[in-house]
Amino acid sequence: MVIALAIGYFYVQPTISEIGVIQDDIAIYTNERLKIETINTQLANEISAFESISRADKERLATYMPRFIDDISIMRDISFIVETAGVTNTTMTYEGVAEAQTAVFSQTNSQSEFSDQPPTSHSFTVVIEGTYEEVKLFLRLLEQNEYPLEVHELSMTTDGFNLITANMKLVTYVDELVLVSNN
Amino acid sequence: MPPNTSQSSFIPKRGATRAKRRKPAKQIFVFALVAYSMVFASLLASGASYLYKNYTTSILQTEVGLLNSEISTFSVSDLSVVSEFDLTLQRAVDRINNSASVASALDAIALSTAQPVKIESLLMERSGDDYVLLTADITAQSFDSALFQRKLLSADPQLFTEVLIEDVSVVGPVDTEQQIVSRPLTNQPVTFTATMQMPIESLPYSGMQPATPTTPSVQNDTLSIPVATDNQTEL
Repeated sequence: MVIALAIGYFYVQPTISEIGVIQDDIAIYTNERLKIETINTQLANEISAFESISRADKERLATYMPRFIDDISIMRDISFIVETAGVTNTTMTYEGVAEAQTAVFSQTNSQSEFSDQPPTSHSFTVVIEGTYEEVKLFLRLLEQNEYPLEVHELSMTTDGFNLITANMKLVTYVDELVLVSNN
Repeated sequence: MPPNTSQSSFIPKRGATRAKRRKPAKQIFVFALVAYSMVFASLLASGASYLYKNYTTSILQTEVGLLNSEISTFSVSDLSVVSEFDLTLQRAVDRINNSASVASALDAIALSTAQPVKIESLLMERSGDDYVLLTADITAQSFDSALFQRKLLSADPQLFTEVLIEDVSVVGPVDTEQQIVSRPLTNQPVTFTATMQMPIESLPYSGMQPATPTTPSVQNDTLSIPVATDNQTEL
């Protein structure tokens, strides 16, 4: 009987305890595996949807919201618009970052946290001269650009000889993103 | 002959005592049986627990293997690609939804400006994604024109909000003294500064929606797009 009690106390009871711990671990691992399975399934669906987007559309999006600012190209595009509208460009300068907000994407951040952060805005100062219709055409052409050239400030004055001087601050956006991995 | 005391005596005979001595042996047997049973049960429990532990351990190892397999299937680079694309798309959509057409704003201002009224200068400042703040220095030909212009600007609260007319002053003639005499004060040019807000959603791009800005509800024949005058260009 003592042997039986000893066996029960020193082997059976600890073994049952270990089995309980193992079963708890199994439940945890199963739960985590199911989570990862769900994520993998969602990711596979997202990748499938991503790959179904045409290359042209991806390029349009990359043009609309680029990763890096190319001030020379932007100023060249504004010059083309100036020529098309028939206005005279007197001043064009790149003012730099208007609002320093860079999204940091890390695995600790939730999707909603970093998606709320706006893109980084860069501003240009442009001064043009022309008739009212030419200036308006210039503004219309800015709106038809392949990437945003938002007019955030506009000052229009007349010289008294059918010419309008428009001093404006144009803002474009860059999708600057810093990828941080915790692994 | 002696009497048979064994049959007449009330004292129990020895044979009964011998029968009682068998009881301890039966108890020992029961105890041994119980002990052996417990030992057997403990051995059985040990074996069962050993086997079940091995079974659960194998299940755990299987689960760990499956988890590692799922983890190895997960691609951080794929997640980054999808997340970054989604973020870029959201930002682009956000900018498109909050875009404002300055040309549409000019059209709306033109439609809300009476013909004899001249806009000397115009300042537009965008305030975030909420509204565009307009400040215009306006010259009207008379107080009546100024009043009518104020009425036009206040006619459509959906297009122009927070309309404020200030710095009103009468511009006297600068040429000769005779004009002061010939023109009454009520007919002399009036200058004022109009400040108003235009909500971003009321300024859609012409390429996205028809270029028909909201027109004021109060209109008459004098409302038209301004044209250039002799010495001043109207906006």
